[in-house]
Amino acid sequence: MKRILVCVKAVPVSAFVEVDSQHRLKRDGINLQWNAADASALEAALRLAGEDGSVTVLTMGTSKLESPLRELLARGASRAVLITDRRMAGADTQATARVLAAAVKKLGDFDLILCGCKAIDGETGQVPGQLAAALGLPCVSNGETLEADPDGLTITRRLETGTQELRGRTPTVISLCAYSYPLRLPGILGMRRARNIPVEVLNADDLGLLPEQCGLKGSATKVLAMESRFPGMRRGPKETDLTLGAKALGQILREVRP
Amino acid sequence: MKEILVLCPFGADPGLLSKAAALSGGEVRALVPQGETALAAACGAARIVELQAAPIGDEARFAAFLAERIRGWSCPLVLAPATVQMRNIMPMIAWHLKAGLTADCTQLRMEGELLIQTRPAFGNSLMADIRALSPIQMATVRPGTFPPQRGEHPQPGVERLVYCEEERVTLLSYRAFAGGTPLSQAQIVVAGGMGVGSREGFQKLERLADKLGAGLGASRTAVDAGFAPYRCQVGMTGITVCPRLYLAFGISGAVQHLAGMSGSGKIVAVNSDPKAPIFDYADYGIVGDWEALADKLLQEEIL
Amino acid sequence: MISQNALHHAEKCRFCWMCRHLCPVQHQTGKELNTPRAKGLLLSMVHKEAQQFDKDMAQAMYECLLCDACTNDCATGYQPPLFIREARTEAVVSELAPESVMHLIDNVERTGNIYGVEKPGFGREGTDVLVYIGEAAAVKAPEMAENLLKLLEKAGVSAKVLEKEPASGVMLGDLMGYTEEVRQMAAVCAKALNETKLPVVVLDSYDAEIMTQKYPEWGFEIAAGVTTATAFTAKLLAEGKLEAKAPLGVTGACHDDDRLARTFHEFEPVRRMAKAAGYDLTEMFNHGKLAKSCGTAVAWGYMPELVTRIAGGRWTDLTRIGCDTMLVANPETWQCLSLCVPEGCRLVDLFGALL
Repeated sequence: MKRILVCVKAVPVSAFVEVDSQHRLKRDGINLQWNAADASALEAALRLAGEDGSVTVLTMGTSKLESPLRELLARGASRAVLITDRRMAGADTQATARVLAAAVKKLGDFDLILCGCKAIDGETGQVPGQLAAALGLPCVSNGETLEADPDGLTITRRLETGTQELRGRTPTVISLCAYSYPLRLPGILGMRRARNIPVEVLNADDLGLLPEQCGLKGSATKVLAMESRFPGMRRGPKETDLTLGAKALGQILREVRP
Repeated sequence: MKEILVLCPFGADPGLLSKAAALSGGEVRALVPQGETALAAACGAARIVELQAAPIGDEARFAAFLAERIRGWSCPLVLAPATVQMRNIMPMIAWHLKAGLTADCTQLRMEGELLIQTRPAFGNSLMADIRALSPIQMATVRPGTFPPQRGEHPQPGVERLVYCEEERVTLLSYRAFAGGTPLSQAQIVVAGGMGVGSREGFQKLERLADKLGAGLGASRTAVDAGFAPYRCQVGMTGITVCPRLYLAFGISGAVQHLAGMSGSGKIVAVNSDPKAPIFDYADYGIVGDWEALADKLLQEEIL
Repeated sequence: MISQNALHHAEKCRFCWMCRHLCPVQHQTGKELNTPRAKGLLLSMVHKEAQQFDKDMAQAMYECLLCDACTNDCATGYQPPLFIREARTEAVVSELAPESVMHLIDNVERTGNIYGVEKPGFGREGTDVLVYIGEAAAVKAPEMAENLLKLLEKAGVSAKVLEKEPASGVMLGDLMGYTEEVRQMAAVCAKALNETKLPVVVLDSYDAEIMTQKYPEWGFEIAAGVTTATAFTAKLLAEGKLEAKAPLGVTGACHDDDRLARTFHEFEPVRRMAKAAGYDLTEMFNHGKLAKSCGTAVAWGYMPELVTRIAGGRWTDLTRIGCDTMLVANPETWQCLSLCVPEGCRLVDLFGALL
């Protein structure tokens, strides 16, 4: 596998987040990390690329992501690209896919595009499919394992009730599960190497996109209201006698079972 | 009322069909696989498209095919169950139709011609009301959210749709999981945390889950400790569940875990530490040894 | 290159001074530079480009035992060892780490341990459990390793030890942070342990820590489970497979090693072992989850004088309560405390004491 692109997203570390008056996730001042499924996709890419292939990581987000991208270079990526532009804020999945697709076209031919199956913040999992549609490529979602041979790709894919085995060919888009490939750590040599690789920064103009194609303006959906909802306290009664507890639980079980 | 198209090419979703029938005043067009027309009719579909297709591997091509048909039918509202396959196909259809798509909705309502979609994000900690800005409005809907309403309806018209295009991705095989219900759709979830203490402990919980017809869940720390496999992980970095009953054994109640289960119908917590945070989020708490209680439940004919 | 997460921990310090009172290194040196909060402040200044990460700063990052006492009492709930470890990585990447540290890293890369010697073998066949001896015990406390194996034999446990036991990675991880090199070492070790399909009983809690805390995060888990040797021995006592000895009429104090105390929250098994060995128990200042470190094998490797002083500090804690018998069940604390046993005091290996 020669040239692989991996799309990555920085997501909040904390489980409970706030939104601003325009219903956008407040990303300032919160701790960000790379989405776990995207990290898994990167590891799969590094394994497939081997010694002679190249792995490009691509993200869209704030300019603060330059240093976290450098960390991905230290982990073995050969090239890092950051798309950052205020006009892109508030993008829904379609506006995001449009920007990513423009970047893919600009960055060159890729044999394979890997993504995480969903991000833990938005949890839509829609970007890989829309990116594939924008590029006219096939898309396999929820991949558990991915192997390449000279004739093509073999993918196992997790559905609700079982596992599919699929056979595909390049170029294609594949999204991977978070647990599939634990991402390697940065190594000492990788960190030294990463110091000399610049993070490439692109904006909407570089990608030939008009403001109305990006961000809130370029979105086909609109958030009308957003409510931060810390799980409600229920504070039900507590029982310390196991026999009584088991009895009450039996009652609850009878109620919930149809 | 506008017609609602419900795409269920891999299996009819009775709850979603019923909800669509209620929202549209009976104007539902349902795409279902062969042999499921009667089920779709019972749930109120007025027009049925019966799909005839070999097993599908190239979902992108299938999505492009469906997008073309949807243009032909000129349906302004398109819904599908938020299954793994439809959550891949719907975004591609939406791209082709330039339609706004909302993922994994848990509430739907009509405001005039607008479909207002409500979905949880970030675990269950954010709830968003979303609408599409495009002429065609699309959403995937979390399976099991709406109760099926079967009834007597006038005989619907049935149209056949044949799909046989060259595929760039081919489906080689399918292997069903042993043990039935997927965790995300289980009506009861029996989950364990660090307090369960070992693999053996989880094996006991699994026996209990089998007895109750429940899915087995685990907290992240328990998964990290190797007590349970990742597919059981409930929470921020695992699966979000909303069963009718969530039974938490030896789970302290970290916010990351709560994010994945706080939407459950009833939550019962069992923990030996009376101060465990999970009790604040439980409808009923049992303070004591989880294993003693599990043994009791395993022995007794409680149901 | 400090990660955002580590920086977050470094910058949340409220300067409450708690860690200053608890840091076993600062206790001995009295230097402000040796407090966790000073290290956090330094890294934060580097991030703001008010300071260069230089040799002195790198040196400061190594004057720490990674004992986690500061985390235990941190008012903000943050974890200084997290950023200290990353700062060590930065030191190695920038070639600013002290010579003495680089020497140990070379040794680990060559032989798997900081001592630069071939690891003595304890290989034997067994069918019940796999005992993991670890680098520190094999080289510096072989008697303790032998005692554990004899004890298991006495209890009727058939223990296997790998002929060529791979290093767990904990030494390299302490020396240069958790880098891919450490993870690769862990991968080799996890594979060897898993091939036996036996539950693993780990003598050195430092090894047990990396195996239970880091291995799963890195994608390898020890499938049949990891138990500390102390917890396993206490279980054998509880099951009656080992017999308690008659009271000796001697009072001793257990030294809780820091990782056992703060990673595993394990305090009872060592005390159960001590009682079964016939000792009456008393407690030192800062025991249990507040356990004060007496040094580690790795720290001893690059700063032996300071570690000797730190171990001496622990002996002072003992004599201050009028006790003369220190009870340990960890090869690294054994190694450090044996550097400076005060006259009239005794250091007891609890595995040996139970034989």
